[in-house]
Formats: sequence, C-alpha cells, structure tokens
Amino acid sequence: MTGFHRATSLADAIEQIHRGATPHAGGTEVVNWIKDGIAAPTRLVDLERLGLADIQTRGDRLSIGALARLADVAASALVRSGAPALAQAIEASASPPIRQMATLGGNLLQQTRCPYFRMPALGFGVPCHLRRPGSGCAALAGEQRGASVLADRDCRATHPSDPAVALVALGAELGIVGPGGVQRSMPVADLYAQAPGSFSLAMGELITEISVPLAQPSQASRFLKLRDRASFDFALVSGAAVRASGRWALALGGLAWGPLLCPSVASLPERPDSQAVRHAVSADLSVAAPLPGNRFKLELAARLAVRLLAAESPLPLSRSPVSPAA
Amino acid sequence: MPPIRLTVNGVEHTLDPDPLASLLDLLRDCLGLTGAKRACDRGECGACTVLVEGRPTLSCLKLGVATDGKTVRTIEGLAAADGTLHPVQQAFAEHEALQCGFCTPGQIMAAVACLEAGQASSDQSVREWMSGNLCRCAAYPQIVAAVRSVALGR
Repeated sequence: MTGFHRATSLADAIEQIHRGATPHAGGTEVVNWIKDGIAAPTRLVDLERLGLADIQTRGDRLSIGALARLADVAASALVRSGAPALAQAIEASASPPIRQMATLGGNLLQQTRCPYFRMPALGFGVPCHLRRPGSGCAALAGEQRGASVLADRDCRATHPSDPAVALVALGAELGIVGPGGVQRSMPVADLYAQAPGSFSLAMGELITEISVPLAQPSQASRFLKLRDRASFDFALVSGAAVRASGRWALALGGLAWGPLLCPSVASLPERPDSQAVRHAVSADLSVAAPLPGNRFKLELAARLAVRLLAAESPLPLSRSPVSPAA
Repeated sequence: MPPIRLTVNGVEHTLDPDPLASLLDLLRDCLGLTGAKRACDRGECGACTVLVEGRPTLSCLKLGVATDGKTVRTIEGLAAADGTLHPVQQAFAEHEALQCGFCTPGQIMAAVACLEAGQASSDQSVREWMSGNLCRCAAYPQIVAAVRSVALGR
C-alpha cells in the first residue's frame, strides 16, 4: 500500500525524495500517473506544508515560489505587470479547477501528453520507449499531431507546459535545492536539455523557486497558443515573445521536448515585417525533421511568430494587465 | 498514519482512508454524498467538482489525505436548511440549464465559485471560468444564461 508522508521541512522532503518517495504537490499530475500505471510509488511525500508559494520581488527579479498555484500566479498583480506573457500562458493552460490545484513547479515537471505514453497500463503492449525502454515508438506509425518535429533516435515526446514557453522567453531561472541542502540555479530551458521524457534534476533535487528578471519600463511580452479547441486543450504550437533592452526573445512550444528558443529573431527591429520574421524562424527550424503527421506545425509556427512579432500584426504586446490569450 | 479531519458542508468528519483514496471516493463511498459524480475520474470532465477552501477542485484528483484540516462544500450543502434552493440552483432550474443532470452538481459548484470570485461579468468570462465542466447534453447556452442571471441579480 502506498504511504503518504507530509513533509515538515524542505530538508525532510528532500531526504524522502532522495530515498525514493514521489513528491505530491497539487496532485493533478501524479494522481493520474498512478491511475495510468506510469508510476507506482511506495511512498508519496506531500509538499503543502513547505509553503514555498510566495510571489514577491527579490532584488531585480520577480520571485515565484514553486508551490504557488497556477491561478494565484496568473492573478498576481506583480506577475501581470512584470511578466504578462507568463500570466497569459497560465490562463491558457489546463482548466480553471486544475489551475486552482496545480503548482507552477509541478506544471514544469509534468510528463508528455503523447497518447501512447498516457495509455493505461492495460494498453495492449503498445511500443513506448518512455514506458518500456527499447520497445520503440508507436507515434512513428500512428497519431503524430502532438509529436516533436525534432528527430530523436528513441522518442518524439513534446513537453506540454505553456508557462515553460513564457518562462524561457522571459529568461527565467529555477532555484533548486538538493540533498544536504545544496542550492543551485538553472535556466528554465536547461530543465529540458536531456533526452525526451527526462528532466535535468538529480535524485532528491526539488525546484523551490522560479525567478524572472523584473521588466524594465519598456519591456513588453505576449503569449499565444494555437490549439484545436478554444479552451482546455494542449498546444499544437505556442509561442512567447518578449521585447526587452532592444532585442527580441521568441520561444516556441508544442514542437519539442521543452520550449525552442529562436535566436535568429533576437536582432530583428522592434517592428519587423512578416517576411523578416518568417525568414528568421525558418532558419531556426531548419534542423527540424518533422513526421508526415506533424509537418504542418512548422508552417503554424512561422505564422504564429508573425502574429507575435510582425509590425502588421494586430496583436499588441502587453505591458500591463492582460486579457485571455487569443 | 493518523486519521484525517475534514469539514464537509459544515459538519466535521474523522476518517482513516487509504492514502490513494480520492476526495471523490470519500465523499461518495464513505460519507454518502453522491452529488459529485465519478465520470472520467481523471480530471478532464469536471463532473466531480466541489469546493475545497473555496477553490473549485476536481475531487477525483484530490487525494483524501490531502484534505486534512480543510473545508469542503458540495452540492448537498448549497440549499438552505428549510430547503430553499441556492440562487444558482434556482437559476439552473429556471433557465433549464440541464438535461440529463449528470454534470449538473459539478457545473453548479463551479458556477458558485465563478460568482464568488467575481468572474461572471460577461458571457465570455463565464464560459472561460467554467470551461473545465463538460456537458454532453450541450446545455452550455442555458448554463451561461443561468450564471449570468445570478450575476445580474435577475
């Protein structure tokens, strides 16, 4: 029978995780892992009593506790004025009750939504490298819309987090604490630098904080999500654009295991024409090796980038309180 | 582990559940409160929506042991002691915001939270706030009308 331990301190939580316990925060992901047979923990360690949910300024950065609920982060005046793209990304994520339960840290650590990975344990021996290493990949001959456009020898999983896309474009960093209280920080993008399905965290490490450089007065940002339904659906392609210090940052989601930064847009002018945007994005996506069923996402990504950046775009970047993402 | 204590519709209960039992399991199978429904049982339909500490919560994904010390409101706790319907219940009836009724307890609890959070100022806002509650009978227009009527005091 699975045990449930309420961590009384950060050190207690890390000790438990280091010894094999599975963290439980909002529960919106780990409970489904258990139901789908993705995880069968012998012990859950609940993090609620650790706090770690404050949203505040810390020096020249906006600091968000990893256990802050998505809804609270999106509603925060500090976030809405200091990092509008993050608020928009959260408001486009999941569904309202999930946003009331789920934490920002947990959102960054959710697993892929590939239907073959998510298939319940009784799923007919479907090939899935993440579930059974070496068994192959059912998406190569099956449902591919949500798969990565990047080639990988074993797995085409994409990471579904919308906040991660905004955070990468915003230059956010993670505060991490590990066994023995050892602290380190890491750019959000690096969390997804390992093989698809894996995170750059050592056993026992816990994300405690997400910090974003505080917006300079001229900074503006926006997030956009393209999906089949108007709500409660994962991104086919998403993007976050940030204009700061005379440069653009564009991160694209829905295309790979983790947000893709587009370095070629950085030096575009403040009001580039759509051809220049397309050219830059195409250059950055030239490494893509899409599957027949997801090739369309490359064109979607170019159009989304145009909507976010181009001078002819009707979408204004937000400098202050947001409306729901289009 | 020690038993948990949670308050449901103003009544405190002490329970000793399996750690993997959901709040939905506890409400329906231990406390006999069968208003919250087990439909998808994976957080995708909203039929299990209840309020935990005032927040709309998918009780199928909320571990029971994680509600220790918390306050829970379900559909059974909305009407007054004398049976007078809550304004949202009354509005759902008047606007025919249900057909089969299976999603309705979850819809109503989400609507109560929507109104209490001041998020019912427009049709679009209601649709967005309630987008986690599916209705296979497609009573959505009537549901939005019912919630908006309560917001407008009509």
